Amino acid sequence: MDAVTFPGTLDALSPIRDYVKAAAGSAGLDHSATYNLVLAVDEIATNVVLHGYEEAGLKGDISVAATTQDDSLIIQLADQGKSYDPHLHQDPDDERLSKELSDRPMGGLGIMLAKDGVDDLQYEATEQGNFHKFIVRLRRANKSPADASAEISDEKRKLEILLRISKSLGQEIKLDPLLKLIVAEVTSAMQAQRSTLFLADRKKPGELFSRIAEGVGAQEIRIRFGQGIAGTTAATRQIMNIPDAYQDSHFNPAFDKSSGFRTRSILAAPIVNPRGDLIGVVQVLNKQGSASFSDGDETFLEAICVHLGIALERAEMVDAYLQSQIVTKSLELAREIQMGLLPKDFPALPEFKEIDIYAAIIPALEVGGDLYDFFPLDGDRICFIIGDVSDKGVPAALFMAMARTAFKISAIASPESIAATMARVNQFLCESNPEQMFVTAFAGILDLRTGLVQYADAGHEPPFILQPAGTVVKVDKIGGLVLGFIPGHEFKSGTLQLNPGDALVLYTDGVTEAMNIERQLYGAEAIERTLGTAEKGADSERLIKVVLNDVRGFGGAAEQSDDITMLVIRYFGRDGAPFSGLSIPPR
Amino acid sequence: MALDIQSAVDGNTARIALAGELDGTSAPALRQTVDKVLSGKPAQLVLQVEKLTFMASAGLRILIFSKQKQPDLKIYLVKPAASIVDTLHKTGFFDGVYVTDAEPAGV
Repeated sequence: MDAVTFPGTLDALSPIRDYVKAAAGSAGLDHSATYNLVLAVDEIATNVVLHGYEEAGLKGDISVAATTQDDSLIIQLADQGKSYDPHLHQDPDDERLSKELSDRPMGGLGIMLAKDGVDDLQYEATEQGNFHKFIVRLRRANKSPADASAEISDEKRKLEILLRISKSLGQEIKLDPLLKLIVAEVTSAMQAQRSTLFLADRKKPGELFSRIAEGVGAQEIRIRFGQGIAGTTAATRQIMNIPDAYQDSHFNPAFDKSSGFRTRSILAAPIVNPRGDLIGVVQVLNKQGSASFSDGDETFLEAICVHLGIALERAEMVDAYLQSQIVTKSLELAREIQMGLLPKDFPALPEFKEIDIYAAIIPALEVGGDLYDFFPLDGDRICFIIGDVSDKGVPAALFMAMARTAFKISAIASPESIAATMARVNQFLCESNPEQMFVTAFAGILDLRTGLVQYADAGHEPPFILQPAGTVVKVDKIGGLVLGFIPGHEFKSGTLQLNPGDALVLYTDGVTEAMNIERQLYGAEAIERTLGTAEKGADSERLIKVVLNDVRGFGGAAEQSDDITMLVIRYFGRDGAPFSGLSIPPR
Repeated sequence: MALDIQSAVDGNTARIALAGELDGTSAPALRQTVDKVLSGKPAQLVLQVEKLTFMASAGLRILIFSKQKQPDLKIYLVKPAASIVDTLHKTGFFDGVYVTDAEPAGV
């Protein structure tokens, strides 16, 4: 188009805009590109008039010309006023742009809009005058080599970013750091102001939660499927591109209100794992440098989400594995506490020829708190205990350790009365029992000279006596509360007689309550029956094996739910001679 | 095309309807109008801009001017054209004004 010249006053602005509009129209620019070009030229023309001429006290013309060249539309403004290079002007930075309006300086916005409105703004000051060239590239069906190469370089940029994301996500296998990394990478790749990653809550189906949002402090946001933009994306599994959030009925401005952030454009995409399950939603806010996200941005975010899906899937698996490792470790610790405390070197107490003692424990997968112990009080007396803590796992193992230690110390301190020992252990456990656990126990003192057993019962299963002839007798319960329950409880003591050849068989409820797959219990009667089938003269170890084999056969494929513990003391009499004195047969 | 400016003050609400193009030529007149309607310290300034086809940075400067004159002033832009909203976004002005489709109720 031919150049047109106007006097350099503000009256030139409107006809210059009309000229530019016409040139843009004949070059085929769309509405938005036309507006931006007109705005750019207008801003510079305004500056030329106000600053180049009026402020400098100069008078002159301003002329405008349009040409198309190499598939670009070029608008040239020429003037003879005071020169001013727009490139020497510093654009207002983000901080300044985000200031309260009342705190903002007036200047600088025009040049910023001018530079922003065109693909290139060139400036030249010569002796003939000052020349501004506004260059807008034309997008045509037949792309120019320059356009094609620009698009290829954009594709290349996106591929490089994808590669980088996939690499850096690949290196982070822990979930929490990965979430942070994803948010940072997505925000930068999408040239957005902020992003949020929502995960689908596995425990609460139909809910999304987010722990991290770039630029916002750590706070959990929770939304239901179908609620807001992210919730709708989760429900429909469709990408949502919202050019203006406040014009969209799905948008919930509550978060903006509470944070002071102003959401403009939103792009939200579902993240799906390779099996097609929804893992989460990534939401990107406010495309920088343009009003909204483009179709190209949609495709790009979808491509990024494929990588996010894989990385998140893997991190969740690693997370679950680590959790299970922690559980395993705590179970191992519980088992170590339990096993480390119980005597397990057999034959035990070999210096005492009057007895043959054996114990075995089969810990359940989820370690229970079974315990047993035996130790000499002096040259003539052996003290023993079998017990079961009410709980499972590490707390039970620690409580059991406490009970066992308290018992040993009390028994040695007051060897004259097993009832007094039990009372003291009970008192101690009651005082240091924040988790309200308790222990059932059966304990006794065997006098090796007489075979007499003084015993106390704290709510435990009554033992059996297997006599040499194969008869099995159940020891009567004398009654007593579990340990750690009621402080000050007084325990009764009972007495039973072991005759030479008799075996005292103690067990925990892991034996009687062993279950088969039909959920039937093994029961005390089965112990009684099985003991009767043992060969005559079987030693303590053998007796335990016979019972435990039978329990195992009964349980079959069913999982063992509790510790199974047995303690057997066979009494031979002093000097191997059958004792025939005082006899108190078990009732 | 010049800028047509109509203004009215109704209680706490100052209204200015703009039609045409807001540029360096027409901005001084609008600035005078804004100065006048703000003298009564209204709570809100409602700019009816549906018929505003062009707004240069001179228009943005009037928004700054209004806010500097009265920092607690609420400025509503009713039905701005997409290209004007775009300008508001680019310059960060979008966060400082209320862009609406309907005129707000009086305060």
